Amino acid sequence: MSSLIELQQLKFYWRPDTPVLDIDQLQIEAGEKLFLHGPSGCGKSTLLNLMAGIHQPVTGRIVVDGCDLSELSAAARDRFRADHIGLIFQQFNLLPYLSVQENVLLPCHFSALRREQACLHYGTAEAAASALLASLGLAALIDKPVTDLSIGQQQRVAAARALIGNPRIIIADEPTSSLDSDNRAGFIKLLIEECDQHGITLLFVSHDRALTKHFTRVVDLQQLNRAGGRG
Amino acid sequence: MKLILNLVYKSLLNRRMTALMIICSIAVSVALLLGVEKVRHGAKQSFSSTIAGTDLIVGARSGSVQLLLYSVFRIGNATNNVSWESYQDIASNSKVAWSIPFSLGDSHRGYRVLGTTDAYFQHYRYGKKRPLTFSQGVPFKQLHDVVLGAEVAKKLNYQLGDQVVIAHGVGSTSFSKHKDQPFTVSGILAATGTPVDRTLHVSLQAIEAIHVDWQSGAYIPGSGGTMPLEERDLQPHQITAFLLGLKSKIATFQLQRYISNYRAEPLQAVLPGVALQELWGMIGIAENALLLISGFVVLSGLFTMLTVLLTGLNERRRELAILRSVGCRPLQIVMLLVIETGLLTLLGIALGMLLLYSGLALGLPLLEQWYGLQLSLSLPELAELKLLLLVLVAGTLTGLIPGYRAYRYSLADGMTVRI
Ligand SMILES: Nc1ncnc2c1ncn2[C@@H]1O[C@H](COP(=O)(O)OP(=O)(O)OP(=O)(O)O)[C@@H](O)[C@H]1O
Ligand SMILES: [Mg+2]
Repeated sequence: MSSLIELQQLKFYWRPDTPVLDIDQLQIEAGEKLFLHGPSGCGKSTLLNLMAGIHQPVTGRIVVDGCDLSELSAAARDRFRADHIGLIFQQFNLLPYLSVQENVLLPCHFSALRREQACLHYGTAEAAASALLASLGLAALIDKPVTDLSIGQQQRVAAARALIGNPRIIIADEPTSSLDSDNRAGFIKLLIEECDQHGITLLFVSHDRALTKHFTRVVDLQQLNRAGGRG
Repeated sequence: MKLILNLVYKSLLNRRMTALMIICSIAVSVALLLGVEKVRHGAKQSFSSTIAGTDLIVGARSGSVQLLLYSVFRIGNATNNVSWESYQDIASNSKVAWSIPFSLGDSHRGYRVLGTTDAYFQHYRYGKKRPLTFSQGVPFKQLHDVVLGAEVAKKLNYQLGDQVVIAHGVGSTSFSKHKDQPFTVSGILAATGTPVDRTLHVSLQAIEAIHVDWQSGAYIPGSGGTMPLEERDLQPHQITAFLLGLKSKIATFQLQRYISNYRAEPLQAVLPGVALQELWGMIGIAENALLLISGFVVLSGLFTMLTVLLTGLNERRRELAILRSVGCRPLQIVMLLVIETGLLTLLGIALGMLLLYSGLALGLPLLEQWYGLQLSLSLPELAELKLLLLVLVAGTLTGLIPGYRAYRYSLADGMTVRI
């Protein structure tokens, strides 16, 4: 079998005649920890959205886990994402009106597969959430409202939510840019540890090159992207 | 599904101030709508219960609505009278159980004076066949006794024993008064919510007596002779109309036909229910307009909700993007917003009902006492439930508009929310 993620002749336009992404080929193997960087506006977030099946390429193919995303219906892509992909954003990842635990459990409510896998390892999804939060150093905060948490703690809760139920891939778009450098390193170490432990592939976008040492592979999108971006 | 409900609940709780405002605005409009509907219903009810237990109203030939108006509602005037002989003849028909003669034409400060007999107090029924009752005093006994309707006594502040001067004709500013023959209040009726409340009742003989010195509409003292009233034969020569109660309802149509074909003079007999129906049909337009207005109030309540929700949606884009990222499908997001508006509408309706019913519970006794308007505190009628259901459906569907916006957002936003 081939790579976990495969891009071929991928083109994406926001507006006709100005391509944002033009990528000949990109392969990501299962278990890789990939660090993606590039100047602002070069299309990093757009690429992640494409790989998560949120946007559709104009031409070309994205195959994730043997599944051609462009061949799936919108609903099937939604289900695929819920089952196989955990997402972490730059900021404001959590629903303010849910507790820490309820936030972490959300993917298990929308994806039966994630719930099953969480139960497989820990008995119940709630136990899985507690275990993840404990290993991320948040055991004491489990029933707190998320509004009481610091930014660093919030990002770790978001990581726990992306990790629960063992998705194949975690996509993180600048999850550390609102953290100070000590917190950054700590966050990444914990995240990578968890990914290693559960065999999860990590796609990570950041401007901070100091973080590259934690990753197995570093990709400069500007070199990969023939459209060149407009940053 | 349970999760979505839970999310709606917690999200709303998080925005409880806005939610409360929306609920209140819907509650007020729903209370208004139901209130109007209740008053409308009550008005129709009390309108159609103005007269009950009477089988036929008989008067000179005109229109059935006109006859109903001048005899029962005391509005307008009869074009012709009924002769005493015809009345006696029909009233003594073997099918007739009782009859009440009406003699109208005089007034007191805008209130109509009705000449009648004791039969009125015995047989007249209104509402659910309720008889007239006296709140004070007794029926007229002396020639110059008068029994006042509840509103007459209250508005004009009359007590038992007070003197009342009756005016000739029916305008409230009628100058020609029967000053020579003042009446004494012998009784005051309890409120009925019908035109009875606005009527002064005297005997038929009294009507004759006060017109003794009147010749073709003008008061000429002494023209009626000098014989004292007590010695005169005050048998009326004609009356305005009369009510009939029959021994058996089955005979109603037969007797109606008999009266319509009456030889001695042109008469007509109408069934009160039929004439009321006809009259209500004519004034029904105004009540529909009222309902329409309160319908618009509900609409404006829904628009308030829509505005508030659409304004708030921009701030919730982040929330929706998070839900999408954890696997919530766009349709589930639409559902989330539709359930939210549905729930807000439902709560608004519930609060509106609470408002209305507690208002009614407090206000009903006053309404009945002052206006004789009897609204029932009963559970909503089927028609009201239909209205409420309509409001609920409209409110829920309102959620489709922010739902559609959110659907578009959630597809376009992806992981980065653009504002
Ligand atoms: N929703 C959108 N509609 C139109 N153009 C967009 C949209 N999102 C992004 N773009 C454009 O696509 C290009 C790439 O944007 P993208 O967000 O992928 O950049 P990025 O590499 O993530 O930048 P940054 O490092 O600042 O996050 C930019 O030129 C941007 O203007
Ligand atoms: Mg970006």
